[in-house]
Amino acid sequence: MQEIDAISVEDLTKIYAGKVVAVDHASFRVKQGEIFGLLGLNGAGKSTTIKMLATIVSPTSGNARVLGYDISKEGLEIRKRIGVVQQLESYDRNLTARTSLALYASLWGVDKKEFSNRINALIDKFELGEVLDRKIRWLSYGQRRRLQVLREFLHDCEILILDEPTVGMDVLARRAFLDFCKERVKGEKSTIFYTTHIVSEAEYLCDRVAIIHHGKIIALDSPKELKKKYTDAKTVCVVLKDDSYLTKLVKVLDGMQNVTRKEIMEDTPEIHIVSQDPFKLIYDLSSLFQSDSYEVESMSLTEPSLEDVIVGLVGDQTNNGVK
Amino acid sequence: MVANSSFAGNVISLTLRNFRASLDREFLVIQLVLPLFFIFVAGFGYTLIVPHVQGISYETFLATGAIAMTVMSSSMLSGTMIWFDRNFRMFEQILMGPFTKLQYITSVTLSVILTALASAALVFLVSLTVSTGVILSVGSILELFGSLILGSLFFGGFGIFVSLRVKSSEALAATMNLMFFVFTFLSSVFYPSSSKYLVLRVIFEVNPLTYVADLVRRSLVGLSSFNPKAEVIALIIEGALMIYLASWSINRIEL
Ligand SMILES: Nc1ncnc2c1ncn2[C@@H]1O[C@H](COP(=O)(O)OP(=O)(O)O)[C@@H](O)[C@H]1O
Ligand SMILES: [Mg+2]
Repeated sequence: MQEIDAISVEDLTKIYAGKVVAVDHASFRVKQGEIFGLLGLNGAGKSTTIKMLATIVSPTSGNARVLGYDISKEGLEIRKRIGVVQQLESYDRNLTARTSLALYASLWGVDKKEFSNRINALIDKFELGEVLDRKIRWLSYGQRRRLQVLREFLHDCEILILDEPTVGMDVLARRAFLDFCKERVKGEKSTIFYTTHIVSEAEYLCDRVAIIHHGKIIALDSPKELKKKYTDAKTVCVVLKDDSYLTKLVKVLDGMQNVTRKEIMEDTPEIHIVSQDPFKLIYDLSSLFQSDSYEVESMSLTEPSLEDVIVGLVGDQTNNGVK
Repeated sequence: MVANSSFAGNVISLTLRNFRASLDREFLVIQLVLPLFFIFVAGFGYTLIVPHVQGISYETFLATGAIAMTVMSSSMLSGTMIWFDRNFRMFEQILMGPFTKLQYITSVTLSVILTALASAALVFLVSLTVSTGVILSVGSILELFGSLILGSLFFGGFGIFVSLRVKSSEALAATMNLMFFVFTFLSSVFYPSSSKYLVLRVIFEVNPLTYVADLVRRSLVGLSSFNPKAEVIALIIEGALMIYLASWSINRIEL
């Protein structure tokens, strides 16, 4: 017997007010036990997709199923089985963090004993111990945000839906949180549906990533495959000793055939050159430096990042219009 | 494991949450001061000028009016709890949880009724110290509570409706204050209908607070200068309309 998909989305479309196309015929499937990322720029349609999956916004056309339940007809069955962290903050401003969490847990039918077990296990992970008895309105944005995320770990759920949950967390908190998510999926066989605009986060966390742009899914695969599929080019990083040679180098590169794209770093005399034929490029550059008797600081070849995939894909789409 | 609960169970959990998280208790207590002020301070003063109204002592008239006024103010106030849920997005969060919109709306309505009844009951007990000729029977108390519940539906609905129309909490407070005076002084809380102007008399006659005050007086001191059946029906219609408007605004909250 085939396992039901955690989420299956078919031609899902949302048009706001008859004119804003937020999600445009999106189709994808999320397997149970998977960490699935929806990656896209601001306004790409991530939050709208989540609101439709969480059944608080109804689709204009198309359909989706969550754990086999229809989002248009069986909303309550879905909502009983998911936990959602919205992108925007939501909190009880007049309560202490502890009271608010306890109330939230009781809404989900978690009894007092279970609640105190869970809160004790979570509070350190989210570094909220010190502020637990403080009124929420006095907490910092980052603390409120962690509280909001922690809340969804208090109750049982089969799918966690997280809409840019790390916004407002610092680097360490962010990394700790991503690791916590990975651990959680492994331990409890739950599924995570995760949206972000931060490419490195998706690359680090997700088993598979769908890239959404102007409401359309333009690519879907594991981060590794995406990189293989969409970037046959590699990047050559050239670090110069100072700015003086930069202008000349840029001019030469402009005249070269096999340079796909180049990016001049802001504060350092460093230039990143994407090329289909990086070895020839390195050879050509070495010859150039030699003939000019110019000594470079370093020259190296790097693997493409998922970021290159996005820039490539989205850059293409913006240049050629919508494919 | 799946969170599983009945309609009633969910409504009760949500109602308890409303009381804990959203109800402004300080404000609720403060708004009780006004009716007490009317009963004990203004009442004694006015009685020197107006000893009797419609066959009852003015003190009693005012005390019973204060009960009606309390139902109005605490219902409107508790209706505004929804402003916080919308603006701090717990509304969305709850709707993404194991609840339905109907359960949420029911819980808010129930919270409003309970708050209003508790406040009114308090003012009622206090008013007994100054009122004369109060009929205390099971029938009269049931009638009293019936009228108060109907009144709280209208004013709670009104509080919810206004909360979802205004953006800032300042605008909300200002509107509520203004409407408090409009409803109170164009009703039979302080005096029987008496205005020279037709428009004001009409407002007076359709104002649900007039009905609540009249019905409270009828149940407690047997006032009979009006048509109770007509007022009950009007109160039910206006209350239903306001609850409908409130639900409509809740359904239109942008998510
Ligand atoms: N309630 C709404 N009414 C009209 N347009 C909306 C609404 N919500 C979102 N949009 C528009 O839909 C598009 C997608 O938004 P959103 O799903 O929030 O994107 P993301 O989460 O990827 O940043 C944007 O152009 C946004 O302005
Ligand atoms: Mg978003």
